[in-house]
Amino acid sequence: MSRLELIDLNKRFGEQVAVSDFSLTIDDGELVSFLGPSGCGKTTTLRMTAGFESPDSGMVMVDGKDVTDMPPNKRGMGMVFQGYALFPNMTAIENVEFGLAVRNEPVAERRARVAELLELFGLAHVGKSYPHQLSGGQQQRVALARAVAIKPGVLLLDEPLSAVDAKVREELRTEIRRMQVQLHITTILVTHDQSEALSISDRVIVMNRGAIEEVGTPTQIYAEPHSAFTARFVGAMNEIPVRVVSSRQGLVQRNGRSVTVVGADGLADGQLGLLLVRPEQLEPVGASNEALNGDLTLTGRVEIQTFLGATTRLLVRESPAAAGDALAKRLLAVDVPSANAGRWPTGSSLEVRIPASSSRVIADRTVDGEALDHSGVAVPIVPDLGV
Amino acid sequence: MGDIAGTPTAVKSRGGRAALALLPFAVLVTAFLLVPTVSLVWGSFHDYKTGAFTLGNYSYLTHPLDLVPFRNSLELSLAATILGGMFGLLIAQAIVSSRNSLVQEIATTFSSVAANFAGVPLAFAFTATLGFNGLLTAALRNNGIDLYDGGFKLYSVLGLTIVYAYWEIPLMVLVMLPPLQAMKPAWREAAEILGATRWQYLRSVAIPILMTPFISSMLLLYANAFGAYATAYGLTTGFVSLVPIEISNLINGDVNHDPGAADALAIGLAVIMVLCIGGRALLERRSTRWLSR
Amino acid sequence: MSGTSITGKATEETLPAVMAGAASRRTRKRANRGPRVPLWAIVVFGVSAVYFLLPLYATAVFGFSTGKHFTLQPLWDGLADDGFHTSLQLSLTYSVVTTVLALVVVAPTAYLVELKFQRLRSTVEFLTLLPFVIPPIIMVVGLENMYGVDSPMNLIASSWAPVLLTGGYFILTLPFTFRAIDNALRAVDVRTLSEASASLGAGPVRTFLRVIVPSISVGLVSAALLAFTTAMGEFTLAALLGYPTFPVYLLNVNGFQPRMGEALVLVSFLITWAGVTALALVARKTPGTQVVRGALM
Repeated sequence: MSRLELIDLNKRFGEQVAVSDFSLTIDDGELVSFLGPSGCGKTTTLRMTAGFESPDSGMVMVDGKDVTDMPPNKRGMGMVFQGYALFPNMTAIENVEFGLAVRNEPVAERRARVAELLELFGLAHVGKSYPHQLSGGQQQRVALARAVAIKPGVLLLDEPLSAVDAKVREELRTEIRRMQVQLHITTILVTHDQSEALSISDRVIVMNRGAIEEVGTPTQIYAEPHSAFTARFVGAMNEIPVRVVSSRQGLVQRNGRSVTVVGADGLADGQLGLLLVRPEQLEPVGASNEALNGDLTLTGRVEIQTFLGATTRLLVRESPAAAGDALAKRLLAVDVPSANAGRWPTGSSLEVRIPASSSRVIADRTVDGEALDHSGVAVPIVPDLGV
Repeated sequence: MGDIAGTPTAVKSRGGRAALALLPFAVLVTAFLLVPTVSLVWGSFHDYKTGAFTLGNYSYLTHPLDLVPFRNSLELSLAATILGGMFGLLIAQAIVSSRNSLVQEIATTFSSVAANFAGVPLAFAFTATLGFNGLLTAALRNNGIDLYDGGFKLYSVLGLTIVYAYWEIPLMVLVMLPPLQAMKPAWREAAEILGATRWQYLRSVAIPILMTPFISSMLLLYANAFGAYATAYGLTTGFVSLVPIEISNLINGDVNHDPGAADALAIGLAVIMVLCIGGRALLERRSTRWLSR
Repeated sequence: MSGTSITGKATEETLPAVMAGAASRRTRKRANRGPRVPLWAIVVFGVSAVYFLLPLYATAVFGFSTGKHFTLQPLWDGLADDGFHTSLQLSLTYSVVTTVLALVVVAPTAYLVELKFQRLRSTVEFLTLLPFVIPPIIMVVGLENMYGVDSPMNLIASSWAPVLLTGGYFILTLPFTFRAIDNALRAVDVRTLSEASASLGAGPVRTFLRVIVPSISVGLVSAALLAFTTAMGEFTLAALLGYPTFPVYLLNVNGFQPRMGEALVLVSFLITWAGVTALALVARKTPGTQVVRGALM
C-alpha cells in the first residue's frame, strides 16, 4: 500500500561492514526480493527497514515520511520472522488478533477481521489450536495472517519459508504472492533461495557482501545477468574457456571457431576468458537437424544423467578437439527434455553448440572465484556468419 | 543374527552374571534407603517406649500451626523463597541480557559456587558479618545505627532468612537461566512490530510463558529451605525452633528423646518435600512444550 | 514499474529524496549490537557482588587478625591444630571412599540398565531420585532407627561404624552421580560400542573397562567431583550420627576459638570453590551435565 524508500543505508558491526550504500525505491504494491548468500547484508537491511537496527547513516522513508528514528512499534509495518515467532501461549486466533488488541480495537471488529483472515488463509478450522499443535505450513500462515491483520503499509518477510518442508514451500510461496497481490501490500522478501525469488517477485535485488550487486526483473536477472556474481549465483551456469580474438568486436574463439559475445571489452586480445552459458542454451547437435552454420561446437562424453523432472541434465566431459587443446577437459551441464534423454545415455558421445543468444564472457580469474566487473550493456549475440 | 555371543547357555549365564553386577547397587539402596524409609514409616505409627501401635505421634497434624517449629519453618521458608526468588530472577535476567559471554560465564560459575557454599561455614561467615560483633554490625554502629539495639538478632527467623538467601538466590539463578535463555528475541520483536509497548509484551507474552518455570523454581527453593538443617543449626545451635531442628532434638536430645515422634515429624517434612518436588515435576512437563519450540 | 536502474543507485526519481537526505544525513549512535552489558545489569551484578563477597571478606577480617591488626597467625594455628588434622583426614577418607564406591557401583549399574535391563530403568531412576526429595535430616532419622544406638543393629558402636556413614553418603550423592554418569552413557551409543567390542571377541568386563569407561570419562569425573565435594561439606549426617568430620569440627572450633575457626571457614570455602570450579570446567565439555545440588542444605 505504501511507497518505501531506502536511501544510502550503511551499517557496520565493529570492523565488519554489513551493509554499504544501499539505496532502493519500492513502489506501492510491489514485491521485491533481496537475494544473496548468507552474510550479504539482506537481513540487516530488512531489519533496518523494520527499525530493529539503526543505520549508521541513511534514511528510511515511507510514503515520503522519514521513519528512520521511529521505533518499530510505530512504523506501521508487518513482519514475518524466520522461525515464525508465534506467541506459544496464545491460540492461532489470539496470535492473529494481537496487533489489533494492542491498538484497542473493539472486540467485535477484531474477531470479525480475524475470522476473515483465517478464512483467507485456510486456517478457520485450527483457530483454537496452539502453535505447537500446528504444522510448519500452518504456523507460517498464522504468522502471515498476524502480520497483515493490522493492515500494514509495508510487509517484511525474513526468509519465511526456510523452516518449511520443500513440498509445502512451493504451495506457500504462491499463496504469499496471491495474498500480496490481492491485498496490494508493498512487500520485501529476504531469501537465499533463488527459485523463490525468481518465481514470485516483481523485481529481484541481488546482494553481495553488503552491497547491491544487481537489480532487475526475474527474467532480466536470469537471462541477462550483468555481473559475473549474479550469473553464477542465479541458476546453473557453464563456464567455457575461450580465447579473446578481438575485444573491440566482441569476438572469442575456441577450436578454430569463433562466436560474438558480450562483455569482451574488459578483456585484452589474446586473453583467456570464460564464456557463461546456461545449460538449456547448449543444444545437442542433431537434436533438431539444423545445419551447423559454422557455430561454435564442443564435443564430449556423457558422464552422468541427472533427472530433474521435465528436463534431464547431462553432465558431459569435454574431449579435446585436437591435440594440444589445453582448454578442454571441463564438465559441461547440458539440459535436454527428459523424453529425449535416452538418446544420450551415459558413456555416449555428444556434440553441443552454442546457438545465438546473449552469452557473456568474463575474465578467467579462478583464484578469486568471481570476476569483479560490472561492465557492459546487454546486446544480443550474433553468430559469426562472416557478416 | 549369528551366534556371536556364544551358545544359548552362555548367553543365559551371562544374563545371570550381569544381574549379579547389579547386586551391590541393590544392596546399598536397600540397606541405606529403602529399609530406613520403611522403619521411618513403621516407627511413626508405634509408641517408642511401649512398642504399641499408635497415632499419637501424628497429633501435630490436628493443629500444625500451633506447633512453633512448624510456624517458624513455614514462615522462614516462605521468606527465603520470596527473597531468593525475586533477586534470583533479577540476576538471572541480568545474565541473559548481558550479551558478553565472559560476564555470563563468571556469573554462572559463581552462582554454582555460592549455591554450594551452605551449612556450617556459611553460618559462621554470616556471624562474622552480622553477628553482635560482626563487621557490618560494627560498621553501622560506628555510623550511629545499632541493629541489635533496634531488636535485630542474627539468631532469628529474619537472620536465617538473610543467610538462607545466600544459597537460595544462586539456586534460583541456575534454575531460571534455561527458561530465560529459551525466550526467543523474535517474540519480543514480533510483539514490537505489531505495535506493542514493552509492558504490553511483558504482560501478554513474557510473563505468561515464564510463569510456569517461575513457580516451579519457587517450589524447589521452598523445599530446600524447609529441609535445611546444617545452616540453621550452625547459626543458631537450636536456638530458633524449626522442624529439622525439632527432629534432631527428638532423636538426639536428652530431654525429649522420642524417635517415634521424630519419625512422624520426618514423615510430615517428607510429605511437604514430595508435594513441592511433585508439583515441580508436573509443571516442568507443561513448560517445556512452549519453551522448546 | 517505473524505470529502474541496473545498479540500484540513485536515479532520477529518487534524486529529490537523496538531495533532501544529503542535507539530513547523519550518523547514528551504534545501537543494540556488540558485547555490551546493559547498565541495569551492571548495577545488579554490583549489588549482588557486595552481598555475596561481604561475608567472605568479614570472615577474612575476623580470621586473619588478632583484633587489632592483620595477621595470618590464626590460619597457621588452625592448620597446625590436631583437631583440624584428624577431622580433615576423616572427611577426606570418607569422601574418597564414597567417591570410589559411587563410581565402582553406579557406573556398571547405569551401564547395565542402559544395555540390558531397560525395563528396570524407571525403577532405578525413581530410586536415584528419591534421595533428592529426602533431605539429610530425614535420612538421618531413618538411619538412626535402623542402625543407631538404640536399635537392634547397632552399627555406630561397632567396628562397622564407617560403613554407616559411607552408605549414607553413597545414597546422598546418588541422584547426582547417577545422573552425571547416565547422561554420559546416553550421549555415547553404548549398545553399538558393546556389540562391536563383543564381536571382536572381548568379554563383558573387558568391554566395560576398556571401551565404555574411557568414552564416559567426562561423566565419571563429574560424578566423582560431585560426590567428593558433597561428602566433604556434609554436616547433618555426620553430626547427628556422631562422626567427627571436618564440618563438625568447624562447628565446635568456632564455639571455642572463633578467630581460628573463621580462618578455617575460609579454608573450607576454598575447598568448595575448587571443587565446584573443577566441576564447571569439566561439565563445560559436555552440555547437559550441569547438575544443581539442590536439597543438601
